[in-house]
Amino acid sequence: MKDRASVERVVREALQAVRPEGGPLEADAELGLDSTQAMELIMEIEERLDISIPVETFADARTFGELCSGIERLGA
Amino acid sequence: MERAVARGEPLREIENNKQPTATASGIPLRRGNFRTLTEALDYAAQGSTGFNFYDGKGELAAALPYRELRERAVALARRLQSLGRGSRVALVAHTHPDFAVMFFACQYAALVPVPLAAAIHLGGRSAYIRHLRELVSDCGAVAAFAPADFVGLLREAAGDLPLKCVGALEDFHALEAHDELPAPPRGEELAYLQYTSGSTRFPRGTMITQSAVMSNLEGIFTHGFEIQADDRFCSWLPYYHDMGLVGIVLGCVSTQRSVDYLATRDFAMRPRLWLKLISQNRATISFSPPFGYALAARRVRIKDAEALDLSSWRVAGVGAEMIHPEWLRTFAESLAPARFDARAFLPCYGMAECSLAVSFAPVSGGFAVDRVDAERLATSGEAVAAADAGKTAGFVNCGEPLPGYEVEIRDESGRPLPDRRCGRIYLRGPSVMSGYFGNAKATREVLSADGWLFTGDLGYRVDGSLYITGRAKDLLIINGRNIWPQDIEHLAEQQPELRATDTSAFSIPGADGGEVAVLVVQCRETDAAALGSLAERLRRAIYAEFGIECLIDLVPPHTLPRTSSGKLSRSSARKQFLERHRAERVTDLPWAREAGYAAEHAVRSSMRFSTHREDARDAGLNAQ
Repeated sequence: MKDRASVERVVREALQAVRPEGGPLEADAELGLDSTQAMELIMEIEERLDISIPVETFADARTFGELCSGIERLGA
Repeated sequence: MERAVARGEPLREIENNKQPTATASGIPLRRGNFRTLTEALDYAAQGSTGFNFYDGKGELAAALPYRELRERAVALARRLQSLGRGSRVALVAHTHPDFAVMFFACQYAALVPVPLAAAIHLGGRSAYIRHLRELVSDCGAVAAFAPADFVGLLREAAGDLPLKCVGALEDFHALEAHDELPAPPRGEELAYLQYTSGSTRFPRGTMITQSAVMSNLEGIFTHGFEIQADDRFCSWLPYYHDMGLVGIVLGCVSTQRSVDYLATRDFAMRPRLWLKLISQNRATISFSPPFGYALAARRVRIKDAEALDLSSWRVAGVGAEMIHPEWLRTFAESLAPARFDARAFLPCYGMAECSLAVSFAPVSGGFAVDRVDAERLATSGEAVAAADAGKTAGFVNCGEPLPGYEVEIRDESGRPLPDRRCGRIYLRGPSVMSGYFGNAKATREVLSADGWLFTGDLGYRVDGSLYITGRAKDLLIINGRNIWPQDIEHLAEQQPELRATDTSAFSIPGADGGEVAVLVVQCRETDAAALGSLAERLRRAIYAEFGIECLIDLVPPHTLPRTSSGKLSRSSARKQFLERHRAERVTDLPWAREAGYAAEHAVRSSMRFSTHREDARDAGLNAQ
């Protein structure tokens, strides 16, 4: 279920929930969230996918694309 | 299943001890009156209390009774002692049973544990690795440990540093075991090093002796708030913070109390879990910086509050940063349906340089606000009642210092000030640090030969009670995290257009009462596109390093004010910034919250460049 397209869709939805004013995101777009928003984003993704995102995945996710890749690898 | 913990597996895979430890210890209560931390754990291990670790779903992942903590710490200590008495061991202080085992194993082996931050921001891998590496080097660690989740990051950070052992608990179990433990730590030996400044430019590891920390713990739990045999703690505070490590981890061992832990990251994601745990396990004591109460209040819905019962919570400690009464009021109102009693708020004041606590407000008194004339405070430093229509400032009563402390409020020339006069807070007493590790210069700056510590804070006293009004030292505190302006400035000055002393970082009040980071940058560039690019690069670099949004203010050369000796003055730069932007009602703008604001602001800044030039001319004149 965790193919690239569905991961991207979920991350977009989660971003939308955390930061409703944000526009569409390209893969190399920086997430640019403050620390509180970043934690909310991770929670939204965890709850939508019923996974737990390890700290290393979090640490490596500078951009939208990197976050999606990190989550995709968890599902493997 | 104990083996699973020893191997350092993630918490959620641990299946032992499905019951949390009891609240009653079954042994007579002792309130921190021990000579050393090992004596405190030896005693607590005779009872039935301990640490309980809850996961991000609010389920008990592991229980670690003090009896078991002691057994495992002693067994591991036999393997650690070859590292050499008094040597430092760096510990990534993630909320996990393995950290507790390792910390106390260091105690029994008479080693000096050095808890290091386990906080990473989104995409912050390289900044975190660099940070870890610098602190492991700074404390001259002979070994470095991390719970499983962080061990990959630690190994990368340790790289080729000359360490005798690096890894998770299992790696330390591979060291050779000695038959006997070394002689127990003495009162004058160091109990731990705690980094108060995680600044990579100016690391400051406070050296705290066994007798200093025990003296503070006894003072806290007998005079700060008298601990009772039916008290139970709940905490999400990080183990690398003085309040979390000393107040909770060491405090609970020293008073034989059970504690329910939630990892800081899990709290930040799901703050409601904190309240749910208190409600469910009938906790009586829980501490948080003000922003923790604010965060929880923001996320609690009415129906959540109605499902909770917080009536057991008798001490809701609040400290570690300036206390905003409004945040506490909002929390109390949001949680009134859960029977939270605002009188439980216990404001306190302290810092890692004196182990943890200096003063506590009266128990069950809630937070009391002293309203003073803001104008007179600003002009003459007098904290006096406001005239009828005057603008007021409110400060929270942080209570009387614990016995053993001498406190003085001094003016800039060092003369003691009377009551209701605002000045620099100095203190002396048995729980003050021995100094900053390996940093005699920084030590001399804050600690006099006769034992007086300059706290770096500003405040005044009324009838013995302390009121904190601000900071004399340059420091940004954003969401409870200390960020040193030197680090932001140094990072900014790596940009090719900028030279050293071209930047000044400070914080200003944000819309929600918290702090917003500001970086004023002077540069020769006048092209709007080039300025926009510089601002964007700076914003990204600061975000990548610190995980915060920073307002970038671009100004022409010679704008930044200097002191008479030619040094840049951050406080003057801040004052000028606020004056420059007064028309925009700076403090009303929700800058920190608005995504993309910085890029937009950079453009606006450059468009207003010509008006800034006028200011610059004035500022230049003033500075000469």
